[in-house]
Parts: sequence; C-alpha cells; structure tokens
Amino acid sequence: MSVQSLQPGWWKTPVHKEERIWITVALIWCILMTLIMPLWHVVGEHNPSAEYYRIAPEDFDKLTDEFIDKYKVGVEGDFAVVEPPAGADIFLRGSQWQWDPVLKLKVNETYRLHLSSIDVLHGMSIYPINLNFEAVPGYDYVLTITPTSTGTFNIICNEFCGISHHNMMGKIIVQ
Amino acid sequence: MEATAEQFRTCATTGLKVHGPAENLIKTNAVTAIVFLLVGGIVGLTLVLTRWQAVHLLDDEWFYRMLSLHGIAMLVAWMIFFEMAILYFASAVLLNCRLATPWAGWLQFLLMFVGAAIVAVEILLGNADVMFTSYVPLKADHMYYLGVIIFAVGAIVGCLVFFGTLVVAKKEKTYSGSMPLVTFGAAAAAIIALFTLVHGAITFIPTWAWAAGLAPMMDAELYRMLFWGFGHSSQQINVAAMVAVWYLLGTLTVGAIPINEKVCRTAFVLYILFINIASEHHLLVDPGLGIEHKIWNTGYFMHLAVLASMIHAFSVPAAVEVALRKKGFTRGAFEWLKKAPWGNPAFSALAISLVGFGFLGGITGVVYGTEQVNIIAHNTMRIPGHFHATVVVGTTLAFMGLTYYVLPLIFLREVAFPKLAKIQPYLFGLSMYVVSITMMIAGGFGVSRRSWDMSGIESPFQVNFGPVVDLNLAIMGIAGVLACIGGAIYCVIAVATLLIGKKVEA
Amino acid sequence: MAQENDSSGEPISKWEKFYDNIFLLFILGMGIPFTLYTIWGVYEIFSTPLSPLVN
Ligand code: HEM
Ligand SMILES: [Cu+2]
Ligand SMILES: [Cu+2]
Repeated sequence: MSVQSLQPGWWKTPVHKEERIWITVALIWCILMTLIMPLWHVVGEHNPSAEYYRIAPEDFDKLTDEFIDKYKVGVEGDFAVVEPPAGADIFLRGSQWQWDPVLKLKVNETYRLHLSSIDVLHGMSIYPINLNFEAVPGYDYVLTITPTSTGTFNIICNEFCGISHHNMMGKIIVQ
Repeated sequence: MEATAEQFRTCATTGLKVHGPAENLIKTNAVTAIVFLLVGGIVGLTLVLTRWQAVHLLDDEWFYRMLSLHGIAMLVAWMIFFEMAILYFASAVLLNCRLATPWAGWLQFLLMFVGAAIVAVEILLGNADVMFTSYVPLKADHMYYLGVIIFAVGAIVGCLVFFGTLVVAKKEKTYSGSMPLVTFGAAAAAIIALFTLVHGAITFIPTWAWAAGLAPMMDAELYRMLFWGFGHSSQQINVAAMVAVWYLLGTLTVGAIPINEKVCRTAFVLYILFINIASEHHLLVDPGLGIEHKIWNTGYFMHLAVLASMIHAFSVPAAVEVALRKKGFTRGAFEWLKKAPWGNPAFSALAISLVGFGFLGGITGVVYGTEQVNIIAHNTMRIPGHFHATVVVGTTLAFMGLTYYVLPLIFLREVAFPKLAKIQPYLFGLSMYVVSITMMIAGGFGVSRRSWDMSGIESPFQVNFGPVVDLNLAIMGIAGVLACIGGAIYCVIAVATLLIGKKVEA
Repeated sequence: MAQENDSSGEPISKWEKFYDNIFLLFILGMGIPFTLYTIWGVYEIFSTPLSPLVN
C-alpha cells in the first residue's frame, strides 16, 4: 500500500517485464527528444539565435534612430517606413506601445535583425508565420533572418508590457 | 516537547493515529485553499468571458488586473495552501506521528495568509498590474513584492515543519523500515519546494528593495532567469504532489498497491535531482543565455525527469488494474476498466486527471519545451493551453478528488450532495480538456496569451485572425463557463459538507 | 555500528539506505539544479559581450 511503510528488502523485488519494456521505450524516446535539439542546429533552418550583446537602452534607441534616418523611404501614420539594403543590419525597437520602424524587406535576402526594447520587456511575435522572440531591455538580440515569402506581416507584442499591451502592433512588408 | 495521549484520536477506517494539532492545521490550510480556488474561479470566469471576443466582458485595465489576480489566487494560493495540508497529512498522519512544533505550523499559515492577502489587495487596488510574473522593469508597489516574500517565508516554514516531523517520526520510531510511498512523494515535493522558495527569495527581495527605492534594478534577463527558478519550479511541486496524491487515491479508491516500489521511488528521486532545471524552457527564445545552457537544461537531464513522469504514467494505472483484477474483474482485457468505480468522484477524478495530465499537459510540455518548437509556441495561447492541462486538469482535479476522502476522514463528515459530487469531476475535468485544447489551437494560429484584444482594434495595424479562431475562442468560452460551474459545485459541496454534512463516527 | 539486516537476514541494500536518506536527497536536489541552472545561468548572463556597435 502506498500509505504503509515498507519493510527492508524492497529493493530486491524484481521489475516486471512489461514495466521494463515500457521504461526502455520511454528512455529511448527521451534520448531522441534530447538529441533532436542539438541536431536541429546542424540540419534545421529555424533555430534560436546564439548571438546577443549587452547594450544600454539609450544606445539602442540612438542606433535605431540613426538606422531610420539613413534608410527612411516614407511614413505610415506615425511610423517611419524604412527600406534597408539586402544584407544590412536592421533594427526593431520595442517601446510602450509600438514597434519601430515599419520594415520593408526583400524576399530571399538575408538581414541581421537587431531586436531590443528601450523600456520594459516586449515580445516579438510575427503574424501569421508565428515566430516568437523576447525583446529584453539591455540586450541586443541579433536574429539572422531571410524572408521566404512576400506579403505583409504583423508584429504582435506577446509579452505583457502595460495596459495598452494589446495595441502594440508593428509591421513588416516583404516584397 | 512530548505529545500527550489526549492529543491523538484513532481513525476508525484506517486505524491511523491522528494528531489533533496536525489535523487542525490540515483543516485550516485546506479550507483556505478552497476559498482561494473560489475567488480564482470567479476571476477565471471573467477572463474566459473576455477572451471570448464576441462577449469581451471586462475592459482592458480590469482584464489585466484580473489576470494578475487569477495567477496569484490559483497558481500560488490555492495550490500551495492545499500542498501544505498534504505535507502535514503525509508526515504526521501517515507516519503515525505527532507534528513537530505545531506553533511553527500556525506561523506558516499566518505568514502565508497575510502574504496572500497583501498581494490580493495590492492587485485589486490597481497597484500591481504586472501579472504574477512581475518582470522588471515593470514595477508594482513595493508592498506587492513584500506580500510575495511573506508568503514564501510562510511556505518555507511549512516545509521545515514537514522535515522536522520526518525526523521526529524516525527518532520516536513511529514507523519501521522505509516511509510510505505517499510520504516519500511528499518529501520530493518539499525538497523541490525549498529550491523553489530560495529562488523566490533571491528574486523578490532585491526587487522589493528596488521598488522601495533602496537598490538599483536587477538586470531584466537575470530577473527572468531567477524568477523562473521560482515560477516554474513551483509547478514541479505541483507535479510531485499530484503524483503522490495519485498513488494515495489509487490506494483509497480501489486498494491499489504500487507494483514495484523501487521503480516508483526511483521516479521520485529523478524528480528531486533533475526536474527543476526545466525552468529553462521559459528562456529558450531569450538573449543572454547560450545554446549550451539552453540545451543542457532542457535536454538530457531534464528528460530523466520526463522519464520519471512516464514511469508514474505506467505504474499508477497498472496498480489500479492489478487491484481491480484481484477483485475478480478478470474477463477480457478491459473488464477491470469497465467495472472500475466510475461513480466514485475520487476515482473518476484520478482517471481524468491522469489521462489529461499525461496526454494533454505532459506531451505538449515536452514538445513546446523543445528549443526549436518553442519558437512557435512561446507566449502564444498554446502556453496557457498547456498549463491548464497540467495544473488544472492534473493537479487541481487530483486535489479535488482527494477532498472527497479528506471530508469524511479528517473533517469527519459525510460528503454533502453525493449525486452532484458524482458528476463534478466529469464536468470540471472534461470541460477543462476542451478549454486547454481550444487554447492550444488558438495559439497555433498565433493568438498571443495575456492579450485583451488579439486583433488590435485601437492600434494602427490590425490583425484579422478569421472565423476559425473566433469559433475556437467561442468554444473555449462555453467550455470555460462549464468548467467554472464544475469548480463552483466542488466549492459548494466542500462548504456544505462542513456546515451541514452529517457527522461520521470518529 | 552493527550491520542492519532485512527479514531474510541479508544486509540492507545501499540503494534503500540512499532513498531513505532524505537529507542527502535534499542536498543533491538543491545542488544539481543550482549548479546547472542558476550558477551557470548567472555566469552566462554576466559574460554577455558588449555590443560592438557601441564604441
Ligand atoms: C476554473 C476554471 C478556469 C478558467 C475558466 C480559466 C481561464 C483562464 C483564462 C481565460 C486565462 C487567460 C489566458 C490568457 O489570456 O493568457 C487563464 C490564465 C491562467 N490560469 Fe486559468 N482558468 C481556470 C482555472 C485555473 C486554475 C485552477 C489554475 C491554477 C491552478 C489556473 C491558472 C492560470 C494561470 C497561471 C494563468 C496565467 C496567468 C498569466 O498569464 O499571468 N487557472 N485562465
Ligand atoms: Cu510590448
Ligand atoms: Cu506587450
């Protein structure tokens, strides 16, 4: 009984065959699940980036402003629209409650996306392809991205960042 | 201090000696837990009716306020108060022992109660719209953090009383050989709890000092890392406690005997050693932590803890099957299953909890916790979908099932409204299955968690999720209402039993 | 200390003794995750390099 103490010698009770089979199968599954993670870094295309740096929020703010000034091609509402050249370092700045700037990217080109926040935590969720990364103030998270389809993508903030959190939407246009 | 003989009563059903002060503490903690469940459930109802976009009950401010309160009332207060009752039961009652230092037990209760009350009031006053995760730099009033700290200190005291009782039992030889499996499982939960609570302290004390203006802010990523050492490990307490309760329910309902104690205990040891590093899966798409740290802590060793869950998933139902076959239900492969006591709410709760935890909660947990899959799951509705399967279907329902035995055995009252009790686990558990699944589906479409309005009506760029998601959230809403009714029935039965339930002979 | 024996007279398995030793399990249960998760994690966070974009 699970509510009674055990008398010495219980370790010697042999494990039943069916239970041994189950444990073996489960162990193999666990090992496979473990191996898949490092393996995917070799064979897979989507992997969390390992490139990140420490950066003061003010510095990230300045870098984003410089980036916007350099490549600005227009405005949409209150947002600057920016069209950087292929291969460029591009910046996405989270702040309460907006993602700046609107990015215009070319399909099948690779960019180095610098993601950070200048106030509280934000979460970058790209809709509809559903890719999610955390924007942490004090950290420049560098994601190497290659858009593979054209269209308009939304950036939904998916980390609670204050009362207007649900209004924090941004935009990426891939041509 | 010696316990006097008058402090004990002997249980007529089990023959166990029950220590009066332990019994009072079990009762007080359990009742308080249920009160918080009631509060959290009412709040949960408002949440689910807000995320059902067609209803959209609360305004944005109150939605986030209620979400913070739901997290605290359910995940923190309901779970941990009930676990304190389980710790006292598994030590003092199952070991036939007096509770070490009952005054410290009351200190545990007092601190936890005061802490939880401060936190709840701060949230309701609008001083802490930060969710239970309270990630810095979002800032709440410093009293909020102080409330969390007081609560955590209370829980630490409770764990120490538990360990103290184990020592007393051994010294006074109230049992011989090795402690019962349920007590061993509770010990695993208590060890995990201390790891958890130490992380709570190193997260919240500096954060309190920052909010009070006494210290600079902690690094935002460091906060996340330390916080999840607390926030996720506390879910592992729930898992370990739930499994201990599964074994207990197996024994209480059908007289199940663990097939192989060596295997069961090894599974608990794997929990103790490895389960807490799984906190890492909250940080898989964060900067600041290298790939090695991420893979190691969600990989091999963590999967040994997963293996442990797989072992329990076999050995609990197997023990039940063996017990039922012994009763003569041996025809065919499944007569035992057909003839199982499905009308006994504790048994149906066990079954629904086990299957839901395993298939919905466990599998999604392992999958979403894989580094690459996490990219498409992180902070989407998939995550609340996953943990409503683990911590609600799994732990909450298991605790509800146990209550149907605690009422007659500890409170010495017959369960009121037995017919309602019969359907309660089905209503609550199965509608919670639907809530979890619909949340996961919505998350698959990219609907984010903790969002008052997924489509961003007031924002410059709107998102149209389309009719499938709307329908899905409507189903979630209806199932959520049913789950709340199921939860309310449980609370009503518990309260009615205490107030008007027929007394059982001691 | 005298050797303890089980009912069949054989010495008690060291595994049984290990599993009964809650204090040892406690030390290991704190030490392993503290080292692998917390201490290593703190090290990782504080060894984050400074951004080369800022001079
Ligand atoms: C009684 C029925 C319940 C219903 C209808 C319900 C419903 C919900 C809903 C709609 C959310 C919001 C999801 C989001 O927008 O992110 C939520 C969040 C949550 N629920 Fe429940 N829930 C119930 C019971 C429970 C229980 C029993 C627990 C814990 C033991 C629990 C723990 C949580 C937690 C931890 C969150 C996340 C809070 C946060 O994001 O900060 N829930 N629940
Ligand atoms: Cu945001
Ligand atoms: Cu946000």
